Amino acid sequence: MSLHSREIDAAWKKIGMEVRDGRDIHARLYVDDVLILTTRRSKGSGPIGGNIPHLIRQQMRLNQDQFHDLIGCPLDREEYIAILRSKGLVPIRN
Amino acid sequence: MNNYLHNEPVSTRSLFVTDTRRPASSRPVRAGVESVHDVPTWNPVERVWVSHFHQVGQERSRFVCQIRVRDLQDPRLQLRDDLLVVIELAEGIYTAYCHDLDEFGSGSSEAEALQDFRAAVADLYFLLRGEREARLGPMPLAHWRYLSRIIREA
Repeated sequence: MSLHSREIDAAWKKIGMEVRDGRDIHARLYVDDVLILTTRRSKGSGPIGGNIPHLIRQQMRLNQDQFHDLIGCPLDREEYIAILRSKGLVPIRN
Repeated sequence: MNNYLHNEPVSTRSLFVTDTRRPASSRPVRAGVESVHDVPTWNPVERVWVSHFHQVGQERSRFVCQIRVRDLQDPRLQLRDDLLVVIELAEGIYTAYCHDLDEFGSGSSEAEALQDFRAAVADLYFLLRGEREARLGPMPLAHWRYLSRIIREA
């Protein structure tokens, strides 16, 4: 799996992840003010190689097809949250 | 102990590696802190098993091993328990991944990946500590409970 840093940045932005620039680029997903998951990538603007795309995908709790859809655009925030909710990772609102 | 894939004996000597980035002599020793890591034979990491070829998904890693991380090398934090970390090498990039925390580090060498992993764990600890538990979803909450059990603040 090859991934460019601008692709993952665009994907994080699309699904409304909070991105912070620190030692690395940290991305956090909040739903209704609740922290659901965190992921990150190294600083830099080049391709993300090795097993790192696989590990980011794993942290985002997506399978390969879903991650491909996320990068390729069809998957939006609502659909992503629905996937996480189906896995019990997003608490149901009272 | 055998190599789990090839059933070849692995030398016990190769199971233990010393992280040369920070020799024991340069490690700060704080009064009143007792740790097995403070003994002269301090070993920050221990290699558990090694395989030179391992299938990961559809891709083939060239090198995989599992390591026990015994110290975060952060003066603010001490580990009460080891963290099991899988080191993989693919496309020239080493990654250090801990399944228990779903956290990883990466670098151009094994030591660099481990150092990045240690910093990532410290970042995660302080991020989660800064959030109220009510504001943590199931996964961050599980990670926080695990981290608060295995980490002691200095």
